Amino acid sequence: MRWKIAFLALSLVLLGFLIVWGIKETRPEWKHYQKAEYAQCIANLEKELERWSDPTWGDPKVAQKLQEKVKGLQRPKLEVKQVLLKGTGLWKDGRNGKRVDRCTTCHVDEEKLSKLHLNIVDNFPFGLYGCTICHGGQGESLKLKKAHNGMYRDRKEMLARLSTADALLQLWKGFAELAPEEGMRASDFKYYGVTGEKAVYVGSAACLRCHKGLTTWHIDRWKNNKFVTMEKVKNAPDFIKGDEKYRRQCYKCHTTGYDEKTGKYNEEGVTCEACHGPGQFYVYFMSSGKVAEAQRLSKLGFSYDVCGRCHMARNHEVRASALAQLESGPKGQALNQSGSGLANAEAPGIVKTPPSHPTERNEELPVDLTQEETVALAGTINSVARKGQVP
Amino acid sequence: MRVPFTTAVVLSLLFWGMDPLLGQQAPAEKAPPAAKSYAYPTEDLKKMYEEHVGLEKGDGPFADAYKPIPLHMYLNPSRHYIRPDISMFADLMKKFGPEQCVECHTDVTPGIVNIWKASTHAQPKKNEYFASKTAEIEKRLGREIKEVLCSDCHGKSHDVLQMPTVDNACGQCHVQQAEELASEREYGRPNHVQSWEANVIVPWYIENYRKGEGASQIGCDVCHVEMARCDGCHTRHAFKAAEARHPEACASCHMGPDHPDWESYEHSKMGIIYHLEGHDWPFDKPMGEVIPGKDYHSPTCQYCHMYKGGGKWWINPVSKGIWRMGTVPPKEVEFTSSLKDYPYGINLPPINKKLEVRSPESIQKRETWLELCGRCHSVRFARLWLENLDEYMFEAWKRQDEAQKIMDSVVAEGLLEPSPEERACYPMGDVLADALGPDKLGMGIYKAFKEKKGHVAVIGPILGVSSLFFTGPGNPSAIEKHYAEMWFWYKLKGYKGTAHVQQDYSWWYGWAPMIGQLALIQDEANKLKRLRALEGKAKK
Repeated sequence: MRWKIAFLALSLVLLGFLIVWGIKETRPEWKHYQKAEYAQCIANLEKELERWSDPTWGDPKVAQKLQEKVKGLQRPKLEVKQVLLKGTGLWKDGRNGKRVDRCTTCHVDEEKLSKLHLNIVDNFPFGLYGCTICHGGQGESLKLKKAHNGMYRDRKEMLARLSTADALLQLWKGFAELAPEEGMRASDFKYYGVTGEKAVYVGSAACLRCHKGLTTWHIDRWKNNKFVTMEKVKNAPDFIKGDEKYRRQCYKCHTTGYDEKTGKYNEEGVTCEACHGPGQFYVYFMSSGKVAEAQRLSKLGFSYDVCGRCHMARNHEVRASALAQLESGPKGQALNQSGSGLANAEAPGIVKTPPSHPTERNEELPVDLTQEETVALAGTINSVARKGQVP
Repeated sequence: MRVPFTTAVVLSLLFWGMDPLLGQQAPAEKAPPAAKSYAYPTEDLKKMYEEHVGLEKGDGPFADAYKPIPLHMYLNPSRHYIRPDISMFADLMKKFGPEQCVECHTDVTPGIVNIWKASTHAQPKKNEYFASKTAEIEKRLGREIKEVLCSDCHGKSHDVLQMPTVDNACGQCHVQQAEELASEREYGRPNHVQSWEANVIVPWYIENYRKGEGASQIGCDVCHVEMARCDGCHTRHAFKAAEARHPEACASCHMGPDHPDWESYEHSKMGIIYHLEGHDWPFDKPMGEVIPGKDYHSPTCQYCHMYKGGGKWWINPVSKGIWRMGTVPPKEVEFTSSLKDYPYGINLPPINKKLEVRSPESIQKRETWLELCGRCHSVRFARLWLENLDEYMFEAWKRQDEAQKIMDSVVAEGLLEPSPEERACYPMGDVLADALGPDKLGMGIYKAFKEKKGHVAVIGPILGVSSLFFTGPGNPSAIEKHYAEMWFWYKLKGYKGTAHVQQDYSWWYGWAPMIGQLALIQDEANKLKRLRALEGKAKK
């Protein structure tokens, strides 16, 4: 009898475990969070909906679209969402190793995420590098405590890692490992800061504070030549007549820290950071009294394509055609035919609409080349473009 | 009375479109403007702030809602000036040419004529430096400049005299300077070039006019209108660059409880050295040529704030601003009060987002600061000092968070006495919801304003500052006033004291009274709670 009771008790205990296990299997932690997130999504949308259904200020079309969106979210399919990361294990082999970020399983509201990543949402390839590359934590885990272990939540915590260069070196190495191209090195990614945002160009003045003496020959060589290359560009006839779109093609190589998206640059001329990369972290360590850490960064060397970005063949061909246009077009005519992008619309002091009488045109254009000058310049440019060198 | 007023506001908004009101630039007109416009770059802005309307209308998007006081003829003359009747002298005026203004005005207004006579405008080639600068301008204008006469800025005929603006006068010759001033707009408010826009756009300004207290606004008007143009710093009729390079040029506006820049600089060691030795410094030198330690023994406002980076200075003191005025909550602080929801859905730039002290943009600004500080200091020291400033501000914001939390609970429990429903409404509160709509105000605020007709308690940044500009029956209550003073006065005093290295200002004029206000707020909240409990018991 005693045995029977013991056996029954044991069975009950085992059954209890089984039930608990069953519940845990069918209702995992993440489902709870995903559900809550979807509910929050709906709540947000409904708020929007209220605003767009306002009789005076709203728009019924938008309101209807929102309504449909809410409907679509009413019964969401709860599933594990993940970013597959390249790494030692491959998904197609049936094993993806450790390299997978499942963060978006719980953080499922994309709109909310992009609001939190406003600075990088347009230029950071989340699909390639996932979340943990910057945020740390355990990307493969679906349990809150484990997944958030060792995680850097915000910019403040990420920046706090900068007590040594390790965080950066790790980050850049991580990028190199995950990059789809073969043979990438950490130095190819130093354009990313520790927060995944673009690293900051600090300007050559910060570098030249110290880089005198031993490095004088190198500095002098560049200061007299490439540092002032933009001065030449500014005096070029096609630059003067070119519109902002045309000029941007010049900024690309003749300035430092040029951002294609905004069309703005940090400094004119090809200065230190044009080749050595943005100096934010190097300068930070140097001026915080951590020379050794700065040195570790500088020893990474150059990005593999640093020269080739500008020194490519036929880079100036666009100028040849623009100058040819200047030469062949009627004198003073606004050169805004498509192709070269040359237009006088934004050049200072130039009339926007060409006057109707051809005789007036010569008078009204303050900046103009003589026939000989144009031919000579076009010739130089053509020969340079053929050789593939930057003048 | 109220209905036509509302209509006027709404109509004026519809007429000019919403965008300019909200600080966004309206898309530029397709037709090329006659000349480049610096202070107000779009047609809409020009129409709202510069176009002549006499005294029939005010300025800004609420222009139709108020009529300015006659003094505005002189504060914003291009918009409001009404010429005195001089028809009796018509024949006299015909006799004299535009080069002869001085002949009469030497007697009529000797002050300005004598100042002009001593100015570079009267002798544009008085030395080699000015001759070369004048030559540049001559080349651009294509004519010789012997003198810059009254008529060059004021117009050639007494019948159509104009009051000079950046666009019609200064910017014609001083193109680079005008462009640099105009570039402030890119960095957003607060700045100089938009300071007049900021002045007339706030609800309490219009409310004070509505109450018939336009005269009280003179305290705001004078600085805000001067800062948006050249002669705020280069005063008439000398227009000296050297004058504007003196720190005192900033002092007339940058002082007082919300931005004590002058008080904190003046009493810092930097200001003391300037006070002791500054009279010998070569203020005629352009900033870019000043050798620190040799020319200036300590920095001036201009030397630091107008530094552009890369060894260049420009007329744009806001380009390196990170904390700006210190009134917008930073993203870096984890708020526990309602501050965490700032800007509460409001979409009115520049108060439509939190400040980011550690964004790449701010980091770049900070590096430019360090480049400058490093001319005299160890960069490491400078970095630590400025990082300490950040920390100081984060801590100050945490104290404000504590205060806001108390205020939140006071409002939520309905402890304000009299209640928002029973007391005067928020300035313009009765019309704001209809004028701006949920798009700009956010659904929550729009609904609250709409349902309660503006009888809402508005506390904290930034619209809560109204309690320092407006008083109606029962509004604001003592606790709200304590709070507004805490963050708009004492917190900002401590900020400027720390930033300008005036330690005493930082503590005794800043932090100490700031936490003192917090104590008062706690105390007041407790009293309100006890009072409410007592009332409850008494009713039973």
